[in-house]
Amino acid sequence: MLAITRPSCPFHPALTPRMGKVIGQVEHFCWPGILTNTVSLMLFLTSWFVLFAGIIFPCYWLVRQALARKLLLLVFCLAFHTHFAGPAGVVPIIILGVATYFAGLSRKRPLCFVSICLCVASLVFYKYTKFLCLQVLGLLAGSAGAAALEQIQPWMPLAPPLAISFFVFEFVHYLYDVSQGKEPIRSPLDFGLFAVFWPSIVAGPVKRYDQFLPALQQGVERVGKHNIAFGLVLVAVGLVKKFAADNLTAYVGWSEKVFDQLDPGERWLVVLAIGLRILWDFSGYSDMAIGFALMFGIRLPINFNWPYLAASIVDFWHRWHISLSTWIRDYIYIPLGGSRHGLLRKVGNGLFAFAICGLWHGAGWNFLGWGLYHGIGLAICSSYRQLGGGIGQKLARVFGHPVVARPATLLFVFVGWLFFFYPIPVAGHMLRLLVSAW
Amino acid sequence: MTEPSVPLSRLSRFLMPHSLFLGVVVGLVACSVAGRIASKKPTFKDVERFHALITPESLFYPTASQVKASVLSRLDPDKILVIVGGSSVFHGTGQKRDQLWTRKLQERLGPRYLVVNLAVRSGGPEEFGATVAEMLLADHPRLILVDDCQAGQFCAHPDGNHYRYFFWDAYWKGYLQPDPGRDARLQEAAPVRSEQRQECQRRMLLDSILFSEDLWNLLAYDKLMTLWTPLSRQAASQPRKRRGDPELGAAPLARRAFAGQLAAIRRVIDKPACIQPLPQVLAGRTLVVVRLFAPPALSRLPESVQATYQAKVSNTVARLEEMSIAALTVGGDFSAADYADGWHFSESGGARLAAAVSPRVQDLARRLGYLD
Repeated sequence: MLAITRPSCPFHPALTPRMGKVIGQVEHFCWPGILTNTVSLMLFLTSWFVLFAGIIFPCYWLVRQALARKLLLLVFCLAFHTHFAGPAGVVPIIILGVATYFAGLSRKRPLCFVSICLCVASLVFYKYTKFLCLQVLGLLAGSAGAAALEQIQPWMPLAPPLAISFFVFEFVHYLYDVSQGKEPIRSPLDFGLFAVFWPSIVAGPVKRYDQFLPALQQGVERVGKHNIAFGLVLVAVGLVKKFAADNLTAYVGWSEKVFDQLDPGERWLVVLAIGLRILWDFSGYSDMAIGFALMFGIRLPINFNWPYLAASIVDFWHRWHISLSTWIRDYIYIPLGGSRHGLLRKVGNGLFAFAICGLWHGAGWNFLGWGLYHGIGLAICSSYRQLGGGIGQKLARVFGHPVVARPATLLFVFVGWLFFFYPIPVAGHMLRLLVSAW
Repeated sequence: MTEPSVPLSRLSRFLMPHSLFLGVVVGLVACSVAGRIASKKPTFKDVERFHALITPESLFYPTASQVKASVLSRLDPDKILVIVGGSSVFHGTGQKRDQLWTRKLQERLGPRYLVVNLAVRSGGPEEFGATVAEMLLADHPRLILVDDCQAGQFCAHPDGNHYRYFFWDAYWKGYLQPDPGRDARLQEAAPVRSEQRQECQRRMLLDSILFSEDLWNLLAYDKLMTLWTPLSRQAASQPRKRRGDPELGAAPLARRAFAGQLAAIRRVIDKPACIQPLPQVLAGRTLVVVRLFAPPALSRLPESVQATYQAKVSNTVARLEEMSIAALTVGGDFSAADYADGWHFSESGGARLAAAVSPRVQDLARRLGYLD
């Protein structure tokens, strides 16, 4: 209840999106991933949402009929999305959803492909236009980038539509699977629920329709009290994580401004705080999403499985943002050929997949850098044993031991977060400060 | 493919749904009851002023009930209560705790009066202190509110700005006096009110039922603070009761930044005037000090701007007096040493402020019949 009653503070930076400004050597950025999750927390802490939850859950539990539950759920999902995205924010999901639904029904590959292009083009338009114009085109053709942006900007909304990254990925996955021969969703009601399911729409997990529909059917037919109880516990756990993350945001936000002046121990403490913050922020939201879904009797896949206990980078990506990493694997890495065409192609495919993964989080060079950092790490991790010969085998014995493997993986991941959150030169500077103390 | 959700069967051994649901309800009720009990505690009875570590600046939100209880616990029914409200100027920014101008005001007024400093940094004349004064009228009618304002700005928002949570807390808890004029202004502002302001209003309505803020305040003040803030970063988890007043006082005269604040002063002078009434019950018992900017700063502005400013000051005093609010200006004849910066008073400035304010307070008390 404290979470619900705490008034917003006009002074507290963590509760207000912050715009980039240079302070000393360290840029202080508005973190897109964190902003999404800060936004999602703020959605759940509004009086509108409290009222919404206070109405939808009892209504859903009291209505016994499966079809009626689905209808009720769809109406409330649309209400949720309309309220928080605004009427203009709902238009893209409706247009893309309708196109995706009919393309899927047709089961025609060209139509599915066109729909996939439409979805991807929308995502690029809403989220990456500025980056492509100013950063990419600007780099290649100078002021042409700014001129191009000036032409396009009047057509663009102030912010991308809510949840566009998530529903586009879900639509693309659906269309791809259907084009490969899987059965499409025939019921518009089921499709609508798949498209706008409110617990997961804002920040994941990224759903798979072949898992979601059976879970949905199970939920609308029967909601056990164990589901509700466990769901409630998960929501509570998620909220606690989010508030812990919020505290760390304040600490990191202040510390990054004075990073140069901190002593080495404190700098590493800041890095630790950054790593914990993003874990609790993302996994906290996922817990809440899974918990709310469970209170409908609908089981969503887990998204985080103790990622900082990973014994290798491969293992890390089996535990971190699982729904996203498996999506990248299944719809980018494997279609490109995966590991089926030799080592070089495998590495190339992996780098490309992780570049996409990085850019998905935000439109910036640092996100691309972070993705490639992990792609390179993964490539080395999965091939050094074979390529290294005798030395490789010896290294494998050392790095295979959990006492070495886990801390090494953790170090790799935490250093990676510097590239995720800060521009590359700044991250490099912070890294130099971290290691120079030794 | 994707990981399955956590199997329920393992946890259902430990989870007893009915017990959990009952526990949630009982817990909620217990916390609300504890919050109501906490709301009646004079939590801040030893607080001389609401410094940065016990205000929203460091994520601490004193509630209307707790502040009311704290002031009431210090009250002697025979004394005339002088509530000092307003902004950081009256809060005493630029003065350390032992240099506070309100201590000097108390010395000048004598034991017949009790001076309570409820001015807050970034507070408006209608906020916090004024709200508390309104709340206490029913319990202690012999009350005078001493407030401050900038030239041209008085009560721009009927529910406050940075402390609007406090207003709505008092409002929903039924502590405020009926005031049709204010209600009309609130109604008028409602359609254009930002989502954030509306959310604050709704949130405090919920809190007036649950009293969670009161409970959390008690714990954070007495036992353990759970939030890290830059202001409280040294020992962030220490209970706020144990944190001293962080105000450092004025810098040495040579380092006081008068020139650096000219842009901010110009913004104030150029801002369109907005002078709105206080709640009716307070109007006749309020003394407002229209504080002037530091002469060393003002003198650097063009003469035309200075003339505009003086006219604004005079107009503000006149408008206040039309609203039956006693008003005076302070600072025009002060020197650089009396100011900590462009608008906050130093220790000597605070002493002169107290000297200017005390006779007007006594005069007001006489007119209101408090001395009979």
